[in-house]
Amino acid sequence: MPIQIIAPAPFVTAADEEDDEGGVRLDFDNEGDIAMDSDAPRRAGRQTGGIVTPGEVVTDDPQWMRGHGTYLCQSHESGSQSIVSSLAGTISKTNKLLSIRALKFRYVPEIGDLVVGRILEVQTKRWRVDIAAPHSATLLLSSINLPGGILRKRTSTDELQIRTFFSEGDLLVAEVQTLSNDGQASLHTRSLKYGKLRNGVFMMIDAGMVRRMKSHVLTMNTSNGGGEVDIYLGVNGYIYIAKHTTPLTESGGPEGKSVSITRLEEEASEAIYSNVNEEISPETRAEIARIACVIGALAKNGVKVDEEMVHLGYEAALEEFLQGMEWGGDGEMGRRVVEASLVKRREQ
Amino acid sequence: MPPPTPLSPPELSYLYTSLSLTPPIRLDLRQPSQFRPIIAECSFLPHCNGSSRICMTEAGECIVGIKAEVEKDATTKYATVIEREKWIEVSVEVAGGGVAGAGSGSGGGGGGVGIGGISGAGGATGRDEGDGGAAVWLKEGLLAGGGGAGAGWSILDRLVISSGWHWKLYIDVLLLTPTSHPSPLLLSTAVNMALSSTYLPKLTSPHDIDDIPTFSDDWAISTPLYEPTSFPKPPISLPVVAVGDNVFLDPSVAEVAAAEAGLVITLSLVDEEGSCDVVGVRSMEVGRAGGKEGERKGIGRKLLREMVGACVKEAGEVIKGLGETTQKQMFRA
Amino acid sequence: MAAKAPDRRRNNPPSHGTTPPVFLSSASSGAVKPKQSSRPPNEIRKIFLRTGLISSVTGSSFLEIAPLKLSISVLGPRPLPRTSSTPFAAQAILTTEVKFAPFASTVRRGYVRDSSERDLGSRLYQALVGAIRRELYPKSRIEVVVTILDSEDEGDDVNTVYMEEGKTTVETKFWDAGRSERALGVVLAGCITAASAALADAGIEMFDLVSGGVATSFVDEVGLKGKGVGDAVSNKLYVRDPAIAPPEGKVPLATCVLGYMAARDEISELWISGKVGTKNGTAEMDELVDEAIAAARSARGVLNEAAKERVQFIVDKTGTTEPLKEESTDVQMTG
Repeated sequence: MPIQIIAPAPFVTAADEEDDEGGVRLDFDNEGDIAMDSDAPRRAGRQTGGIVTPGEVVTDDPQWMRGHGTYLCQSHESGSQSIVSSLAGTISKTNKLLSIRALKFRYVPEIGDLVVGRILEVQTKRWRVDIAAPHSATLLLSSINLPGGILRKRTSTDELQIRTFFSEGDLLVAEVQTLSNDGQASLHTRSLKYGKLRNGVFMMIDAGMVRRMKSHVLTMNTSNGGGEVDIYLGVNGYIYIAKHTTPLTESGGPEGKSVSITRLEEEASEAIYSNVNEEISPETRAEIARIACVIGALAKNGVKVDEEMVHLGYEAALEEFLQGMEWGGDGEMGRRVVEASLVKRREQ
Repeated sequence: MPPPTPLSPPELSYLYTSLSLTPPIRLDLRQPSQFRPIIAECSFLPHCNGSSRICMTEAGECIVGIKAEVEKDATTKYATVIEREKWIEVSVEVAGGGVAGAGSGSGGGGGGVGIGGISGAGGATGRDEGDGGAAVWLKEGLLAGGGGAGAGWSILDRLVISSGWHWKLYIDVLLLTPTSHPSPLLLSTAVNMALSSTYLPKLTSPHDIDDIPTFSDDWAISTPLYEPTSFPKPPISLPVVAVGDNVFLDPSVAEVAAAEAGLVITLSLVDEEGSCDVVGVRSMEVGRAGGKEGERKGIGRKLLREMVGACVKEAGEVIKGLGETTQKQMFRA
Repeated sequence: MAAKAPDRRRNNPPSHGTTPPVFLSSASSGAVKPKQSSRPPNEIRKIFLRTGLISSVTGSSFLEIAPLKLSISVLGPRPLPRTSSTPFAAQAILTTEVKFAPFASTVRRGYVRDSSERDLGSRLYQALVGAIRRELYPKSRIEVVVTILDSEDEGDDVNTVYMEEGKTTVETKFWDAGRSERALGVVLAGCITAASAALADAGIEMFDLVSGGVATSFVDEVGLKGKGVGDAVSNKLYVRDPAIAPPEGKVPLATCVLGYMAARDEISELWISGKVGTKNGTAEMDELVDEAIAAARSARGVLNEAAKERVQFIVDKTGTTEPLKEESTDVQMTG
């Protein structure tokens, strides 16, 4: 059968899926203080796993501070202040700060986030970058590593040659450097960790499906002779999976290569902004595709993507079809892989 | 409408090399002739003679409603081919004005060059249709499906009520996912299922009089537009692209962007063994056509054979699968 | 959609169109038969193709194939408008526009392009886009504008009309569904050929000239009644560059239109409509495609001549002998 035709699944409520570990993990602790005041009917939502809807009173206990997704409301009768939710989502608390996390949202950039983005537009001294946020981010010409060394001065020649660094459609990995008042992010790639992406594939998942981690660049050892593979898990849900490349040393060219100090800089520049892929073996390509399928399946089945899950999912995928190349990435196969990887996690 | 951001050169080259390997590696590890799963539902709109809903991972969701209205022949006995072709009206409406979420969109907009649309609609000036000309080829396939002129069967015959009266079929396709280039597979499977689930009320007045016809209001004895047990079945259009010497069915957006040649092939099932007739072929705009020197600029004859052959091989199963799904859902209701 | 928006600039005819009068020759009681063409099925009609007739545009051509007359202007390459909404284009952006003149067919056409005209435009785009070396013209735009002045039209000879005892009977040709495909196919093939000539005239670099070809397969009419389709198929007749009227006793099965690059043996645009049975592989389709390619090859001869003719004309007129000079220096260098 070349095609799989699925009848639409009946709507499943949260109650039906209670035993399913795969759902979005609710960080709310039912034993916590805020669950204590339980008389008002409007607060009933909190008893069923900490899910609130906009307008719902979260608490009127003055010990809590309001965080994202909440606002303060003064009651007309008692005059007491209560914290009210302004989002549909789960309650999360950090010390005494109450905030609501929406289940589905667009990416909101924060300083220090590692993001994967795509150049939308080239302007005179900057680029506009799509990072899946409400506003496109900007990347200034002065925020990138210019060829010829970090300390080089920016010249008008660079401005004229702006397209040789990044052009429309180019993918890059960057860090959010600053945020303007209206939430627009400004990126920088002034580290050899960041820069243009090549040698791999790009995919996107919902921003909320990437768990924030210490490091968002993973290097995985793959089976089937695939070698090492780098995974850039952008906090914004954009993901790039590429063949592992030896990071360029601070001084320029690849390690162990002796070149004169002036040539070094030339090499670095070419390597950073080259549009040519390296030689990638078919084995590596197959494993890159497998990892992409795993990440896609995890996100689709509502499991947050992090380093552990990618590893477990990849293992599960390998077990399911050791050499198999018959995977659509979604549908039944994807489900099976995700379930298998969740079982593995529970075992650990 | 701003065109979607193109893929970056390394991305395209990576895709191109992966797809031109032997055996090729598709990014989602599919076989070259494997389709992505689709979610299909039919006959769920009570006000329509036939309806369907199709969901695809990448192409999104689309709903088709078919309504039949009784109409007097515009030129009575002078009904010409042109007049008769007006008996079927296909329109494709894109929700949200057809603007792809390309600006800063994560909703699939960042994807690729003009994709999936048939024959370079991106290049025509004053491109004022949101549907990339989809309505034109959908109707063309429908009229040709079932053999067109030569096979002696036409869907138009089924629309004749009596002398001077006919059904006018309105096929309204509503694309719920905004896109500038809807996937041909999505639209054609949706129309296919909707047509298979279309029933027309039974005529109770005699066939040969010119008076206004009357119909039975009992849906249990209504007649299907396409007989479920006989052939032909409604046609289906399959997109197929070629990269190097490899041929891929149901290409993803990125694969179309990296492909060298693309066709949309309309096929119609002719017997129970799953044999299919090709009833239409159209070129599809692909990303790399007309790229750099030394690349393929068109389709060679050998490649054309391979592309059509690949579709013919798989189409029977697809049409049969769709037909079975339709029947299952029709009788469940 | 803009197509449905009222056109305020002109005084428009009724929106629903008008029915053309059908004149019957009252003297004859027999059928008014459409004219039969006398040329053999493997021969295309004579093509008249000239370039450079419109002086105000970069390149132009005029093509005439029996009733079909069309004129093509090529504008550009010219810069893209410098607005913020215009995206950067590393390759030239090609735009094509096909418009029937309102008087080009029996039924008057409006000024606003209808869906079939838009469709023809996008086919023409597909046929040409691969052949143009677009990467040599970054940030620019090339426009191909086609105006069809006269066409062999869908409205002609639609029905066979009988007159008996003062009563008119019309035998409708319901099953000739391939008629509009053939008419549009001939128009598209003409557009492709003429547009290549106009592009060459405009001095735009191309990998190869694209010529258009169209072929239709016909089967015996008798074979249709009943189940004798198999017999009919074996009796297939391929007609290159088909006229509107089908050959005597034949009904059309499928029509193939393509844009063909002869030097590269590649098809840049393909449109097949109608049944090309493939129970036994793709043999039937191959035959039809080969016929269309043969038609395109025939047109290519005319296209080459037309492209050369203009160059020759200018060379003669200006007395430029540069090509010869270069040739002689080459000889000196090798010798």
